[in-house]
Amino acid sequence: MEKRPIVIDAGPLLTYLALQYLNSNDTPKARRDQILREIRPGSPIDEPEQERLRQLLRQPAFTTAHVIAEVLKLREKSLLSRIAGEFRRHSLDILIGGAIREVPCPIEEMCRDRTFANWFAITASPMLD
Amino acid sequence: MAANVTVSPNIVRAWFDTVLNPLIRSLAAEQNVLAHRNFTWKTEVRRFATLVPVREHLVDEAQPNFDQFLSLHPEYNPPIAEHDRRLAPLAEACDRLQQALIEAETLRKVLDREKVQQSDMDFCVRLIAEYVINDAQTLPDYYTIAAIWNRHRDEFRAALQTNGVSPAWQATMEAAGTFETAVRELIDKLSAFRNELSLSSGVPIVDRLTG
Repeated sequence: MEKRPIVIDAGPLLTYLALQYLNSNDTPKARRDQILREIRPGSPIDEPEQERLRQLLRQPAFTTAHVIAEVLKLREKSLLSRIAGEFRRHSLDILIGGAIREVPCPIEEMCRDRTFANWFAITASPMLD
Repeated sequence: MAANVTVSPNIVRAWFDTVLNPLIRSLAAEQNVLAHRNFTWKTEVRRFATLVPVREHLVDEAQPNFDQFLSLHPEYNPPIAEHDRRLAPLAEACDRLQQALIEAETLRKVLDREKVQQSDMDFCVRLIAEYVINDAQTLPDYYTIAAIWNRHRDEFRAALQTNGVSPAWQATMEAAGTFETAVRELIDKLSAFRNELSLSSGVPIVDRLTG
C-alpha cells in the first residue's frame, strides 16, 4: 500500500525525537517514563502508543520551520534541557536525514489565507512556556 | 508502619511524588498490557519494554526514598520480591517462545508465499514472531508489514498450536498468569497503603495537576 504523507505538529515531533534519542542510548525505563511524562503531561504514552508513533513516522512526514524551532527550543527547566546539546545534535541528524521534510510556511502567505486561524493549529502546542 | 516512627508530611509528600505514585502508575501500565496479552516483548533485544523489576520503575534519584520507605515498611519486601520472582520465568518463557516461533516452518512458509525476499526473511520472521507473542490485533496500514500480518494473522497464530511451539506457548501463558496475579496484589497493597497514609497524614495523594 502506498504510504500517505503526514503533517506533524510540535507535540508528536518532540515525542518522536525524544523516543529516538532515548532508544539511541538505551535510557533506563524509569528515566524514559519520566521524560515522556514530562513531554506529555496528562496524556501518557505507553509502549503500545510509542510503537504506533515509531511506525507512523516511517512514512514521509512534513513539518515547518516554526514547529522545528519550537521543538528544539525546549523548556528551560525540562529534563531534556539538561541534555539539550546532545538531544539537539541527535534530533538534527534525524531532521536532516530526509525522513521528515521541512516545508515553507511564510508568514505573508499565512496572513493572506482566509483560513488563517487554522494555521495556528500547526504550531499551537503547550511546549512553549 | 514502624510503631515508633512518625513520618513528617514533607517525607510523605516525597514518598508519594517519587516512589508510590510513579510505582503504582507503572505497575498499572504493566497490568494494562497484561490484560491485553500484549507482553511488549521485543524480539530484537529479547526483553520486555514495559515489564521490569520493581526497582527499575523508579529513577536513580528516587532510590534513597524507596529504601527509606522499605526500611520503615519491610512488609512490602515480600510482595515486591514476588513480583520480580514471577517476572523472570515469564521473560524466560517468552525467550523460548521467540526461538520456537523463529524455528517454526509456519511463519516462513507464509512469508515465502507472500514472496518476501530472502534478504528480508529473518527480519520479517522476527517481527512476525514479536506480533504473535504480543498478540497483536489488526495493524494500521502504516506498519511495515501490516498487509502481510493482517492477511495471515490467524495462520501465524496457528503456529502456537504446533508441536514445536505449543509447549513454549503454554509455559508463557502460565507464567503470565502468575505474574499478573503478583502485579495485581502488589498494586492493591501499595494503593491501600498510600490511601491510608494520605488520610492519616493529611497529605493529598496528588498535590497538583500539571499540564
